[in-house]
Amino acid sequence: MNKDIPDIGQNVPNFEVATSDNKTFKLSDELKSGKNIKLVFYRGHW
Amino acid sequence: MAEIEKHHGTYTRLDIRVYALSTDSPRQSQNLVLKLGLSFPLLCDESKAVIDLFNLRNPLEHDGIAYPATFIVSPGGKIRYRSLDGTAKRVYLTDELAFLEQLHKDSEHTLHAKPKRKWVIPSLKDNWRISMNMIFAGNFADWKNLLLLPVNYSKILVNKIKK
Repeated sequence: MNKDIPDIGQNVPNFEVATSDNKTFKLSDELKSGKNIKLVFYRGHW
Repeated sequence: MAEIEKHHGTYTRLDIRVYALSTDSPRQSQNLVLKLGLSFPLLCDESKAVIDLFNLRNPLEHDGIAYPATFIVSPGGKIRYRSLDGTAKRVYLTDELAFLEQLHKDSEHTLHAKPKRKWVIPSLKDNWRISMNMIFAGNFADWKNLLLLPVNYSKILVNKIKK
């Protein structure tokens, strides 16, 4: 596995993607909520 | 996903917002939301830009899907918790939930999760689920990958042995 995966103590990279309910998700906007965020990468329909 | 949903109450109590990302299309993702009755939206990284940004692309599987991984990020944008699963390793959610309880008390708390099981062959049930998902949520390209499954498995195995 790649060693350049963001690690603990680092800042999370910002990104923007579509959501399942056809909205746009922007991480930097979510962080403004003041809550901790759990971000899961999953395999999808595999 | 279903396991995360089971602990939805805990995440709410601990004030955690949950987002899950895959390379599925919004249509495929919405199917999964409805099927599992998820109370959180799924993120759709069809272009694989985000998994590349996080360096999580696993090129051996299905033209590049993400390695399963979890990050907990504080409101300031700092990563507090990270767990990386190998293709066949799993970190149990119980460890993560214990970490979140700690984080709730101490916002500076950090933890590296270690996978507990070393080597898991997908069960018959998993394979059945994957096949069903291919039929009902997949596209033609998926069938190509189903046929290539033995090749992919052997590549992964050879990789493990080399290490």
